[in-house]
Amino acid sequence: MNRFKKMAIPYLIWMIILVLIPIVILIIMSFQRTKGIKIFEGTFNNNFKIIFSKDVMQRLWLSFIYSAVVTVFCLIIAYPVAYIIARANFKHRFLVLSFLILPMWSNTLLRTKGIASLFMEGNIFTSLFEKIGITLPTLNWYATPMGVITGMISMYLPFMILPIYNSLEKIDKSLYDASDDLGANAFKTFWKVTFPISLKGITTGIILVFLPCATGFGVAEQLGENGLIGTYIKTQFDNEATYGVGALVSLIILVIIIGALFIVGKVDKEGETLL
Amino acid sequence: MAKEKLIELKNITKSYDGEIAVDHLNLYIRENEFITLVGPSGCGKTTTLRMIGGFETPDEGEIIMNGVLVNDLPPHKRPINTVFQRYALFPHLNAYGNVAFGLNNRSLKELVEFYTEEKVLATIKELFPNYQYQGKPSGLKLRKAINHLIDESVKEALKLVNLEGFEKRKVDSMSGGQQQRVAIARAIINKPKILLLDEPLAALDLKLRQNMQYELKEMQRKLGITFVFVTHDQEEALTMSDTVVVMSKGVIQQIGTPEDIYNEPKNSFVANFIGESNIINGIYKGDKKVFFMGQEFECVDENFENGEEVQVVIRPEDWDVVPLDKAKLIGKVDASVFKGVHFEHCVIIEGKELIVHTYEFVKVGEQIGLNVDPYEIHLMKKEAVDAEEVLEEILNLEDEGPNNE
Repeated sequence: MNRFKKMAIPYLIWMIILVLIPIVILIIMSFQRTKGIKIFEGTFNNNFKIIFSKDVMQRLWLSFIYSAVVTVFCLIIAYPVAYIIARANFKHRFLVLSFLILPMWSNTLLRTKGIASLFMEGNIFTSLFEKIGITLPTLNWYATPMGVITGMISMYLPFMILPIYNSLEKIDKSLYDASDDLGANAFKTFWKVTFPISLKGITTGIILVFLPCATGFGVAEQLGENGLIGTYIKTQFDNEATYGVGALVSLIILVIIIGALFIVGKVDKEGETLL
Repeated sequence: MAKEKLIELKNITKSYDGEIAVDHLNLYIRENEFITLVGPSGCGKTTTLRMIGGFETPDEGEIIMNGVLVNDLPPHKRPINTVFQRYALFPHLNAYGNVAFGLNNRSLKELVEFYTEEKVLATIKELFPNYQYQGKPSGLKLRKAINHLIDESVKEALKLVNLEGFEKRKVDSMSGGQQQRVAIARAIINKPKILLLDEPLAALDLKLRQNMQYELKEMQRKLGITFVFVTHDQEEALTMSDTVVVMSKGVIQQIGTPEDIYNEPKNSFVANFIGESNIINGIYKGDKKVFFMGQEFECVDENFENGEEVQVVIRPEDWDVVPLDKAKLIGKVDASVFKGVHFEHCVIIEGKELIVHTYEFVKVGEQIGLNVDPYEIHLMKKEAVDAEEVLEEILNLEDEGPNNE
């Protein structure tokens, strides 16, 4: 036991420097109004007033709605895909999976910009088809909810597919035989065996998609949406005078995330979901 | 007593990727029978079981159940349940949920049929003494009565496998033996006509396995259902079965009672696989006499021609150790191992090794006199393959372990 404790020391130091101390600074800063990170020089200021302003509340709400819609659509699309690959009999399952995951390997910024450009006039498809005399209608989805949600779905879909595929792939094939043996047809087997066992993968997928959607700003901004909470936090930190406000909003989101993970931990005692 | 044929396999052939797993197999299973398919791994016993269960369809041949061809009937439509090799319990359900799974899959109508209408109506009366109805009871009351009956069945099934009070336990927190029992309870609660057991004891330790052997046999007697048991363990097969089917390379080598299989093996494979054997080449001299190892012995077999080459099977424990002057065979003890109940001597006579089980201790290197009673000598037709080759093959197969996949 002692040896394990010693081996944990580097990680402990790492956690203290990069997680604990920043959070403490964040907490202190959230009560101040300073220029830049000057912890003990700023004046105490009640940032809560700004937090409960209409603007921030609207952004929180919009972020929540967007993330919820994106998560639901990701789930609807990802589950059948993961299911088909996991149950398929062909040898190169992993290769097929890789093709779905492949976009993840390219630069996020570039990818988002690319998607955004498809929603605008004069994109690569319309100009190509114009050359051969076909006029394609432009989607004109840039900076519309439709475009933002579609872009976000394409961005986060792999994060939903992978954990669900993992949980489905791990199911012992003999369970399907057993279910069949015990009188369940294919439909019943899915709802009474496959789906309940894959719930852990679904939970992981939801966490992996919902959280970055709700708190990130890069993807949304590239798609023309500046009204989300992530953008707000970023703006506060861009502007030296409002670090305190940014810190407070970040803290609130942090509390929400920790709360969500705490609930997941309560439900899933073995912690398998987050693995 | 004559029992009816419950299921019949006619000329069944099944191959995977061109490799034949089961080759023109003919077998019938009678009601209330404990039948065991035994053989080394890869002999086709599990494939045969899976075809009976409906998990595989035969390439050729017919599976007939109660006079109906059922080749393509899916498992959930057969009156058969299976206890799987690694139990295949549902990890998301507790013991209760696993056992109730089969009954919960049935429709209300099927369940009323399953429990009989009188019993369901009686249960309604018992649960709701003041409930009045005309004609048929309401669906809700019916459902409640059925749920009550299912609850009773589950508890009864768990009690039968000695798992009372384990209803709420998660299956992964149970020991191998307990999971095994849950798997059995989950299958028998459906009152199948046939229960298939695919090496269910392979994962248990020796003591537990021996206990379960007796318990399974007892359970089969009590429930009166047909058990089809698959194992690679010949001792298990002999202990539990009414009928033993010895298989090798997709072909049935011999079908018979445990006594028949042990005492009258049809060929050297069976003789070697079921228990230990000394197989010696000999010549039938006619008139219940056989000549081997330079001596003439009396025997009881007579279905051979005069001068025909035969194989003589003598079980290690059938040798009698006698004083040298009374012995027909005299050899030298090459090695000796104490086995607990008996000694196992390896005796060399004229370059041929014999295994002898006896209670007497003989020093290694000393001479030993052997005799054998006429009824202990079993003769088999001479085969093209050499007995030693077959033995080697069995040893190789056993090295691969009990896994049949």
